[in-house]
Amino acid sequence: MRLKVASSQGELWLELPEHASVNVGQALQSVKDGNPEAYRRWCDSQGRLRRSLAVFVNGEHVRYRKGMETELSDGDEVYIIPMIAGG
Amino acid sequence: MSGGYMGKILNVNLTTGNIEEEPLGEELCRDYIGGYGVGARLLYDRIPVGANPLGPDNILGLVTGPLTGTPAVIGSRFVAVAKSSKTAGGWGDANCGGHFGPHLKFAGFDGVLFSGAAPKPLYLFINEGKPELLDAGDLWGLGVTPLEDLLMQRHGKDIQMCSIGPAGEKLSLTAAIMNDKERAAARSGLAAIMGSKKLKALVVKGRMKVPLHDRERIKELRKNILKQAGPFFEIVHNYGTCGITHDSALSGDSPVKNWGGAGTVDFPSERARRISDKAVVDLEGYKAYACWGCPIACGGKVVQRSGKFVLELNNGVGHKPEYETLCMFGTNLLNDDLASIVKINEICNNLGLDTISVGATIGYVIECYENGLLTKGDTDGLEMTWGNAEAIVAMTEKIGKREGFGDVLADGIKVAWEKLGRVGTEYAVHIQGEEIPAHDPKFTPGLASTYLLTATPGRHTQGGELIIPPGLEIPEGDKHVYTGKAEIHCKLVSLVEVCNAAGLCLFGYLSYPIQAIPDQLAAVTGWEYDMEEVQKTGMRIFTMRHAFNLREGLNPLTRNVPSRIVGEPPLKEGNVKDVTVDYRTMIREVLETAGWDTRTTVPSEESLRRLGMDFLIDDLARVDVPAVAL
Repeated sequence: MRLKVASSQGELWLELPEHASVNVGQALQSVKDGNPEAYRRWCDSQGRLRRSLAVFVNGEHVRYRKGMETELSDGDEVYIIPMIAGG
Repeated sequence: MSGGYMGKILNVNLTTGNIEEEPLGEELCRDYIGGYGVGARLLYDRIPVGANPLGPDNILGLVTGPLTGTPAVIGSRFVAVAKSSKTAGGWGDANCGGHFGPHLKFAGFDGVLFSGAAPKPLYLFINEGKPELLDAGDLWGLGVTPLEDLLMQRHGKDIQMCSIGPAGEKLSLTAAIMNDKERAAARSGLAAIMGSKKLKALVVKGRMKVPLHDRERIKELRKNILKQAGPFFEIVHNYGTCGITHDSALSGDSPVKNWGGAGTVDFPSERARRISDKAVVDLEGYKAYACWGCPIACGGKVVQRSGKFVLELNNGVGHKPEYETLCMFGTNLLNDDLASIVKINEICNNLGLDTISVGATIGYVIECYENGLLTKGDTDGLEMTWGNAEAIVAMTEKIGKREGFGDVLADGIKVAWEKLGRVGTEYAVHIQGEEIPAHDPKFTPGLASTYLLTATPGRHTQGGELIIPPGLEIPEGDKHVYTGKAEIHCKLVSLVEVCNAAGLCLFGYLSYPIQAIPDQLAAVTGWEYDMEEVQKTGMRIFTMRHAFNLREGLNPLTRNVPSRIVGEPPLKEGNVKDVTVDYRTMIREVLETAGWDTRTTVPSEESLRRLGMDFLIDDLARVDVPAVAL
């Protein structure tokens, strides 16, 4: 199974076993080893999504699904957006 | 006097031409720091209650903070303060970067307060501590770009200035006070106050040093703080705020179709990309630009010498548009023509206009036009339809010059709505006359409290849940649960009050650990600061600005609440669909936490004593404000 995890700063692909069951939270955790810099940007030291970020699956806020427990399927895109003020 | 301050302000009476230096009191600075804080405290005493904002009794202050012009990260800011004619005669302020603020201090002063009104156009020139009022008859009518060029020829290239363009001269409430040709103290309509005083510019020149309590400590702090840049730094360093336009359009943070649409439906990814991040910094001739002493350099110059929207000033070089401008003239108007927004930016900067207010006002006009409430007969023949870039550019220029229909729109949505016979009330998205910036409370619910309760309504830079600094512990929880958030909201608002008052840039605040604020204040001033003291001081400033409004009889609970920004009714599509913000609960809890009456918003005697504001107790006991049930 392939998943895309992206933000405005770039994107990366996760290769997972076929038919694996993985949710948004687990997908972000799986970034930790291969891309620690991106992981640090997205998750705090306890492994929680940083409060200043919002997560979308295929363009839809995870709030309208099952939050970080939203199950992902092959080809899904997890997109991470910072909540920041612009001037 | 403590470090960080030049130790004096200048009082300039424009009616008489009298100029007097005034020492800046140490207690005043300790309690209110600078900027909005010192400005509000001084103007509370000096502007008579009920004064006409556009009359001689109003006072316009241009004020720095103790960290402005010091090695602190990032001390580039100054503020404008006055009674605002835009927001019902209440408190007005605006904040700006660039190079003017530090150089005002290098010329010898922490701030200048302008009272009275000149009989003919003037400008103030401060040269190494020596102020002089000069005739501006030949400058009146000039745009900001030719004005800055001319004054540099006259006084030398080492001057800095802030000024108004033709929009401010014509008292437009959408006008902005400008510096560096392209930086704006835009909100609260304060350029109109400057115009009413016939003050074209404040020009400064000087090489004085800002006193520092502990020079080595602040230098060491700067070095260490810069090493701790967080993720926000990366975005704004690489792109400026245009780096978030695409994401914010899709997340539901940006206004789309005059706050009535959804990004994912009405302005989808491929369109949002055209006015965002790489599309902007890939513009011809892009070159990053920094305010004074700033390591981020979020600004940028671009070149546009061909196509439909050629830049006519500075040999075709303009400033790249930033997030607010890209949204208010882009997502908000369904306009993905980036070249048109670059052109609009040039027009607004040169005529001296607030891009938030003008973009919002045109959004109102387009929605009225699309729904048959306005016709070409009203709009000087312009077809005001969604995404019609040529018409939007043309209308922007008309607003800046107060020409034709632009004269109807030049004071913003509220005045235009009244002049047009109150048509399209649902489309008139403003709070108490202030157009709302490009951040949606349905996406960040705490913003509803900021927009509706802070002394200056509809402002995204006044703190709250949109602006969370690194290193601040925030309780976990669903942002769409509306209760139990007041304590953190008050903390966030207070911290931003101090950041603004100190003369620091919010982008530094968002890029580096929050501990940098008390550490730098202590190193520069020599006073002891910890987070508790910072928060208490911030709440004092928040209360001071509010007290100005209360004394004018203004209760923020009477402000109109645009139904679209709180989701009444909720959107049916997009990433903030089904959201209705329970702003009443949030505001009630903030009032309770602050110790303010939940119906009148008058602070309790106890809360005033806690903040050391006993002098307000008698004043506020006498105020006549309506009581409102939330």
